[in-house]
Amino acid sequence: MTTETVSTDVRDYLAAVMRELADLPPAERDDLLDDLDDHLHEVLAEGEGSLEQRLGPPAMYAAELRTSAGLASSTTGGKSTAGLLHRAIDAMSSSTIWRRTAEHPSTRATLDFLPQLRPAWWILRAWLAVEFIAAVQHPRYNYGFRDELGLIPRVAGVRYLAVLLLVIAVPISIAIGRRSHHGGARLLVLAGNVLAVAMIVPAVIALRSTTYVESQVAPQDGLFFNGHPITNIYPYDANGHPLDHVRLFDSDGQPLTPLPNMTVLDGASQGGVAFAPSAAAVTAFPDEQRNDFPKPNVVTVYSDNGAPTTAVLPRPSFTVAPLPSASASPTPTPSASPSSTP
Amino acid sequence: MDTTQLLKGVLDLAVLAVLDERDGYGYDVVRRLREAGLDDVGDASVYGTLRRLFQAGTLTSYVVPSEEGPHRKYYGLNAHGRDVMALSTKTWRGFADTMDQLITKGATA
Repeated sequence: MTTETVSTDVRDYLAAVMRELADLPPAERDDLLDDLDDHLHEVLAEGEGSLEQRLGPPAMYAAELRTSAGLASSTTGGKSTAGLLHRAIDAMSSSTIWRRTAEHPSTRATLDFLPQLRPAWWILRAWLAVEFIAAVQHPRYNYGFRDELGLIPRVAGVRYLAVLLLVIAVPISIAIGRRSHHGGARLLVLAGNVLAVAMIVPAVIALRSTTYVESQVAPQDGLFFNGHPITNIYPYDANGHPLDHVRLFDSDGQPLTPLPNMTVLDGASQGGVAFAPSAAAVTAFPDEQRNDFPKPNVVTVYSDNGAPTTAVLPRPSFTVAPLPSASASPTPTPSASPSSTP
Repeated sequence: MDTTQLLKGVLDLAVLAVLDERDGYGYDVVRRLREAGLDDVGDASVYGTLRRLFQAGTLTSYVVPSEEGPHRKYYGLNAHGRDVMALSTKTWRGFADTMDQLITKGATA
């Protein structure tokens, strides 16, 4: 056994014991560990096995030291979760595979780089904390994550409150991150971090929720513009003159057809009289002219006895300014005709 | 019978007895306890006990430069330590006698 491996073993064991006693006041801990370095060297020098074989796991050594020295068992040692966690980490870090992986250059490089990401995590967890507050706030607003979360979440239904909370939470998170913690405070920070990580999933879902909502809209028949149904189209030429009998096709040669434009001026339905679209309204849209714009504005008026009367309303009166470049050519010819006619 | 459980109650006296014989440093005390027959004594227990006895004012401590290695912290009994040792010995003798009689009666009955 070389001197180097001896000192590595001693250093590892010493560090593990020290970690177990992290809750003690530094002076007390140093006093307790004063002789340990010599002790470990001496045990190894006897050449009767590794430190673990001779003295047991570091956690056990620390617990024994603590009890026999008459010190209260710690929150990090004994049966607590953190103690178990430490023991599990100790067991894991002593296995060969783990050690080889940990000592591989690429692992080293990655691990060396991770600390540089800590400030980013501090800011991220501050944001997650605000998302968490937004998620568990007043039940009146707590319909679900989707309504309240988002890049800037809503707190008590108000977004600027979240901005205010972020302004407070970010410096706090950074201050917590820059300081080292012991004992209970360390557990508290650990619990907070776990909570923040758990918050990532609902927060990310909330960020994507707009997309989900849009994709859930069922396709509808007819023509739509920005979600509103189009019942008629009024074409104008470049000079601002209204055009009649303009036929519209899509890129596949399919005629563009709105839903039948039937305004029903209902004088009788309040009396419970059933009505049907009049024949005139239907015949106003023969199949071959379905994409002929503008459509006639057919209005069916029901009299009190239920008899329908059909009328065609005049074209809505609005003026369209001519295009600035089109004043020279009053009748622009279409550059392309539809490739197929129905 | 698990001797580690028994040791817990008498380790103070055992350490005091070893140091009463002659001063020693931590691992030296461990070795001498084992040589005396207390095989199950734990290293950490001895170190912890030494520290507690020192804190209680029964031990003196001094550092001795060592030729082959690091400086060693030696412990020895002070006056108070000798008093405690005497008292503990008396307690132990009485306890051991009681246990002895109990066991002997049980065996002959």
